[in-house]
Amino acid sequence: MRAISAIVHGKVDWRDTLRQMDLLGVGTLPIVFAIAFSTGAVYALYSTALMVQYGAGHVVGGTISFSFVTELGPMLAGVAIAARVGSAIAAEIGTMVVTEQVDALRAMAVSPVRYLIAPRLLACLLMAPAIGLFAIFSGIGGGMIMSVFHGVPAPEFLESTRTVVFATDIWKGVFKVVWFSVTVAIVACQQGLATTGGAAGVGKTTTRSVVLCVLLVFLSDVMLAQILGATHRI
Amino acid sequence: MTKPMVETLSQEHPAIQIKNISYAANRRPILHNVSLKVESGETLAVMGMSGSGKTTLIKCLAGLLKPQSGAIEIEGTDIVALSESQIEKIRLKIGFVFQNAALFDSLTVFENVSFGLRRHRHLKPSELANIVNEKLALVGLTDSANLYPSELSGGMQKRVGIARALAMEPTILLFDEPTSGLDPIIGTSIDNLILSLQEHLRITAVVVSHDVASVFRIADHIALIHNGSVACYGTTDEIANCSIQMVKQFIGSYHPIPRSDRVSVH
Repeated sequence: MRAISAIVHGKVDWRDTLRQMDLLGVGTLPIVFAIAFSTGAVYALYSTALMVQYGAGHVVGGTISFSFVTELGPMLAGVAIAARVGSAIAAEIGTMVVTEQVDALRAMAVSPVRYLIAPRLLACLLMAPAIGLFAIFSGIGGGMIMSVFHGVPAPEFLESTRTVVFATDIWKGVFKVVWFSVTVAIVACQQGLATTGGAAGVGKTTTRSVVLCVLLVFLSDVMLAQILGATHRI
Repeated sequence: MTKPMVETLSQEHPAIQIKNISYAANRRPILHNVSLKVESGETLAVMGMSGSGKTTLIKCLAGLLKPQSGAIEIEGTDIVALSESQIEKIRLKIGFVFQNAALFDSLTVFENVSFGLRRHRHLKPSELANIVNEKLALVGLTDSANLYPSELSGGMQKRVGIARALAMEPTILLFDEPTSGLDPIIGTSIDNLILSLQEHLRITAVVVSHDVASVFRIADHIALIHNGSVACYGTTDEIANCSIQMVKQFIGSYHPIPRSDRVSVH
């Protein structure tokens, strides 16, 4: 809550926030692209041939795109954020705790919440929409390329997507990623600050943080799917 | 509501007064009824065996740990009763030199030393640079301003830690094992630096150390902590002549130079 208060009252160092946006956000994009693009391609590989065989080639684009906008894109982004960002935050803050750098901050009358947590939370919040959109469009791109190879023309794929996917679906997907990203930042920061016991402690903290973050991404996805009404057109 | 007591600067109070503090971690008692006093401009050395509670005591003085009972008055203000944000105002008067320097490894030496100044003082870049360079000169590290902590030796890191603690011009300095792990020459230079601060700036210092020679060189008073309690307290001469067996064992064969014969540092 103190981190949120610091963000709301503008008491966050913007240079630190920009550094975190670069480290946590920009650095995550290649991983998100690789995961989402390949998942989209494999999804299309399994589904396109079957759907074309049953005469449903004209809905392949809509099916793949809708899946990526509402579920697969946000989930893959969430898992990537949990793995990369969650581990990075927990390990860095945990190391700072065991090497007394957090105590040094406090000894210099600098709040660790304001200096360490608020910039990371804000960076995750600001970079989440970009990561989410990147995951969604990478997945659709992978799916489209594979579908074209299996007999679905690109214009047909895109037309089907336009028919099925609305802008509100995209915003709902992006909202999910923002939720996952903020959850990861809070859990990883909390785990990092609770680190005890030297190098082994940092290792345990990092593992626990990633496991908790991934679990919370999956569990909160169930709740968000209910709230956002992700299945309204199926 | 009165103005925070933090603002109070009184010569009537000792710089630090510890009154019957007890601290336990995970139900394991670490400090028990510790009482000590440090007058303004004085250097108190806290000695004791590993695990005796020395570092816990010094962290309590900076408000990094909160004792379960007792009071710690810094220039007359009881910090145990204060919230974290209120203690922050007290911490501006205190410099803390950590055992392993605790430098921010993502920042350069210059950024480490200027860290507190950037956040608490509104200085022009040139003023900031002047202060940082002055403090780095004091510890003999003017050429290392652009290096990262990983590029420094242990002794250099410790000296950067001292420069960082001095940057905010504190009235109280807390040293956790300032000479541990250093060669005798660097250790002596750090002792000289502490003596110089004491002599020229009248800084109050609390030094936690195992280094008997160093302690007898720099301290006005010595407290020996044993099993979380003060086993012995006195001037360097009193401790040197103490008849308590444990104190004799701790000091060992060291023959301290009488306080009056110590060389003045300029």
